Amino acid sequence: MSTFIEWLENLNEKDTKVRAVLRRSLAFDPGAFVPAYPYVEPFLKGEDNSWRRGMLYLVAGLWAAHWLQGRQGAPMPIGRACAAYQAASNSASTERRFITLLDSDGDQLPHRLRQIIGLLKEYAIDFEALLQGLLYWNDDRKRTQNSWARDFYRHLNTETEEQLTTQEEVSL
Amino acid sequence: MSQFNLIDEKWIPVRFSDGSRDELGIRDTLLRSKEIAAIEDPSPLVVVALHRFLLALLYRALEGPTDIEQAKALFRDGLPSEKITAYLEKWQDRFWLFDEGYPFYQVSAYEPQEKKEWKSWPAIAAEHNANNAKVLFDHIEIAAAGPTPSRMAARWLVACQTFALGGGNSDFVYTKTAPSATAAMVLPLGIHLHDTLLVSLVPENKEVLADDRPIWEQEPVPLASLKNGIARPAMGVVDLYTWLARSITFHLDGNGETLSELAFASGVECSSEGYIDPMLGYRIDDKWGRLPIQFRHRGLWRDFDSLLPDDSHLAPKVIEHASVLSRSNRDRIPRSVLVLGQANNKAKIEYWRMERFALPEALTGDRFIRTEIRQLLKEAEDAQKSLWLACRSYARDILSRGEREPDKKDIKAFVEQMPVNSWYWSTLESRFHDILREYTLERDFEDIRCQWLESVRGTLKKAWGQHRASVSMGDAWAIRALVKAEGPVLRKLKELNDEIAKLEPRKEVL
Repeated sequence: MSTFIEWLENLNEKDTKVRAVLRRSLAFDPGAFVPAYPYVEPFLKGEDNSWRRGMLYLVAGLWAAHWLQGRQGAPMPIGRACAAYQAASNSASTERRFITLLDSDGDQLPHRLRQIIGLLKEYAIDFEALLQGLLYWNDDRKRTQNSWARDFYRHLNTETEEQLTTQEEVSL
Repeated sequence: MSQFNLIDEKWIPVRFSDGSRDELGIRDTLLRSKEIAAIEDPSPLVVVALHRFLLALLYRALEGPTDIEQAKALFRDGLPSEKITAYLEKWQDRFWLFDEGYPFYQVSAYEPQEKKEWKSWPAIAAEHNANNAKVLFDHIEIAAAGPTPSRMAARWLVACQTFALGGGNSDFVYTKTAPSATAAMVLPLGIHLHDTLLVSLVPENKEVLADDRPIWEQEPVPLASLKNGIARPAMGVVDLYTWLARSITFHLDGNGETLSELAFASGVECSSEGYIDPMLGYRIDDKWGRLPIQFRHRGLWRDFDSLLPDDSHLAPKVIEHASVLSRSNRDRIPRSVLVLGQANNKAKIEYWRMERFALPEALTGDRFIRTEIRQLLKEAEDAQKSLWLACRSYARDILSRGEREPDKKDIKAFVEQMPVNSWYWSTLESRFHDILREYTLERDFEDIRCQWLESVRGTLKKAWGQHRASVSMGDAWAIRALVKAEGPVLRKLKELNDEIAKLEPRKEVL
């Protein structure tokens, strides 16, 4: 089965409207913008978990907003992209933004994520990993938040460069 | 009138080899020592003090051992009953707990001037409430404790003279600490009391032993000297084991079966410096020179190497002696060793403790077992250092959120309340006991080391894992602090992995 992002990419190749509609959906609560339904619902195949539904709509919107013709480079996890952005821009506020993002609850998440993705225009983002992480956002052990933080600080500090991830976090 | 003679009355608590328990007098304890598995009392201080007392008796009764040959002969032939019986008969009169002339281990001439100066018996029982040492869950009223059996009083008397802590004015002068009161005392345990006593009976020079008299053979110290604060050097081991650290007088009330009041004041100060107590291990301090090993905040097992003999001769002589004696007779090597004592802070007892360790069987061989065990302990310390560094980094980031450097004291206090370090040590401690038991002559050190490194790695990983699990549910600042902190632990784990890979036997390539 193809992944969600591949699904969106395929749609994008066939239909020029896709990205515009999905981008526009970001102005609404995830899953509340009716014109986006034809692009996401077929992939959801009747999924009734509201969190999963919401996150798929959200990621679809973010993907569309971030899409750039002929983007180069391997997609990277969001934590790593933030670290790269902070290193390149030398802006101390990125870390704070990132921490705030990690502390977000379900209501705050779409807005904060949209802001961060907006900053990361230059970087290829692994949206598939982003989606996987978001699906587990409310996990009791905050595995997603831990893993994103690990990505961020591992690439920020050269001194902790070793393979920090344990098997547990890999198999999120 | 003389009451309660310690040679005949039952007062030494023993456990027999068949598991039954009783209390015995001095004569029976010594003569039946092969039937007795151990001296057992709820108080570690009483246990070790009674051993020291019996050892002092044996030195005098046997007039030896004065050299290793004599010690070996004793170990081979056993304790000579006739000599012990004869000695006890000769000094029978000095073992009355209540006596007008020579009450045992007391100062008969001392009587408090005022009625109110008589104290209740808890004054000599370290494990009960005293004026400056409150014990949780001990509900004895200090001022009116009521009577206590004389057999108990006799035990506390011996323990008190061994472990009295200085600090505080008494009827005479400021009280001083008994010679070895603050050290951790070591007792190798033989298969029965007989062996326990013999392995600790370290030979003493013939000339020294001739004049080395226990308290019951000495003439009473004049009251005037005691009042002026007398100090004198120790004559030898026997003198040291029966030191008069406090001037105590039991008040006879009734038929001597119970004690309710006693007088209590400063005793004799030990002026010798550099005396070696055979039951103590020593370490060399840069500033103060040779110092006895004490119970500290950290577990004594982390200093276990200091209890094992090597060329520096800082280890307890009793362990050294035990290993020499059992070299010719492996079946009778002490299987374990007790370390007993108290930790004090400014004249107050912090805690008393009895720890039991397996005595590595390899001790009787020619290996450098002290160096080997020191290496194992150092590896544990090194690994803990990485844990500590990680904790410090975590504490700093949690306290400051990256905005400022928090106060060092705050960081330290934060790290101390984190359970991860104490969990690490307590888990490794039980593994260390296992390792000691496996330390036989046949085992290769590299095998033992590999096994130990695996334990260290596992414990370190689990300790940090537990901390991570407890934190990862916290807010993003906690997660941030955690992620930034774990570098040292992960580096150490990698190091341990590499080291273990080197030691592990290589798998055959098929």
